[in-house]
Amino acid sequence: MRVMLNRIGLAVLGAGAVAVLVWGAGGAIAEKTMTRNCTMDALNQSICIFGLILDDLKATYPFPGGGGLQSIVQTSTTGFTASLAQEERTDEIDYEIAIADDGSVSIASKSGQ
Amino acid sequence: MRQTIKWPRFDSEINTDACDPYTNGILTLTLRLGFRQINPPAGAAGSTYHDYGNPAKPSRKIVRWSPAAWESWKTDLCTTAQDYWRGKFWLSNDGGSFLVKKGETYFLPNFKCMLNIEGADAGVGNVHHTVDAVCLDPAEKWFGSHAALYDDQDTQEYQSGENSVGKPIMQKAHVHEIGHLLGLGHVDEGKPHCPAGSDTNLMPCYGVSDKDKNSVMGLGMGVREVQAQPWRVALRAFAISEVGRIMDAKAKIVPTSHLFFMPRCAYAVFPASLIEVYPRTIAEMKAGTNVISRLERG
Repeated sequence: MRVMLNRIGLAVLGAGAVAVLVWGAGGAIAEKTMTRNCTMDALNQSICIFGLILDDLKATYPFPGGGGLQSIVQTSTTGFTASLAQEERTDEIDYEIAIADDGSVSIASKSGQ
Repeated sequence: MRQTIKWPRFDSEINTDACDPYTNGILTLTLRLGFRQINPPAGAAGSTYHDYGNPAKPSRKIVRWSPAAWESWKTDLCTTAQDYWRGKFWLSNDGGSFLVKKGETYFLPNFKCMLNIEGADAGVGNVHHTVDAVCLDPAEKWFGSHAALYDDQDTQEYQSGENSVGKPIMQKAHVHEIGHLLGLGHVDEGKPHCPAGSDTNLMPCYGVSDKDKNSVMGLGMGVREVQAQPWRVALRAFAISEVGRIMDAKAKIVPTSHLFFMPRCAYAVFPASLIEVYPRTIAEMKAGTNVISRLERG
């Protein structure tokens, strides 16, 4: 998964996208919500959204052991499902992504975690 | 008295032979596992096998079990899981069953919960559960297991999660899986975020609070009283069986104390504790007194 993150990160940086963490007073992460600016063509926008999901998984998924991330599948225009392998089970986290007119994307909702 | 009741998941035996005013009874569950190797086909040294045995899931490299590795793994799994689960619980005899008489005084023994795990190759004798097992290629670090499909690394501790402050929670997968084979569900099953009858393998079923996550039927290695449920079910069956014996016309004269207690076993719950509770007199039992230290019994 670490390798995949690096590749995505490079792709995203190459496209000029910036990951933004929302920081509160004192430097602590104020909330888990993340945003990215994804004003670009379709391929790079989807890569950007995948990067957003990867960022969220890295920040919030509480089971670092197991088999790691197996897939992120687009289920609708703005719906994505991440699958992570654990003993006995595969955790599936459903994301609904909000894409603003200015190209910024954020996680509108998340379920399954 | 020694008596055995066989269940689909395990055999149970009660032993009150040594019971006296200071000595409790022993309740032993025996789990017979039949192990079956999953090897590369046609004599090949290596191949692949899918997580959870599900062809839709990723495959992992496996190698052929060597006789030595197979015997060592089976022994390790049975021994360490048995050591984990045996002797953890005491069941309080709140049903008034299994009376022991000393002089003119009746005592109610409680029960220490023991577990035997007997492992053999599948196909040899009767087993309660058949368990498949793969031997991972040394390059593989993980394989998706479940209660009936293990890998050779499942007896090793791994990080299964983290608590609310980011501290790792560690578990040995086989101990959790043996809990399932005994009939235990996940720690939060039945709670609103993990309703019974739904998919109880969802993340929240493994615990939301740190306490629940740390449970062996969550993500950790902690033991909880509620996990004595398989032994409680067995003890209840023995208690009901005893009523049947007492009511048998050929039985010896029934002490009036037994007659007082016989109806109680119908609603006894045999509460579990993690510490030994010594045998009680009938008066102590009626008063709801738990004897947690060894008292002088004239």
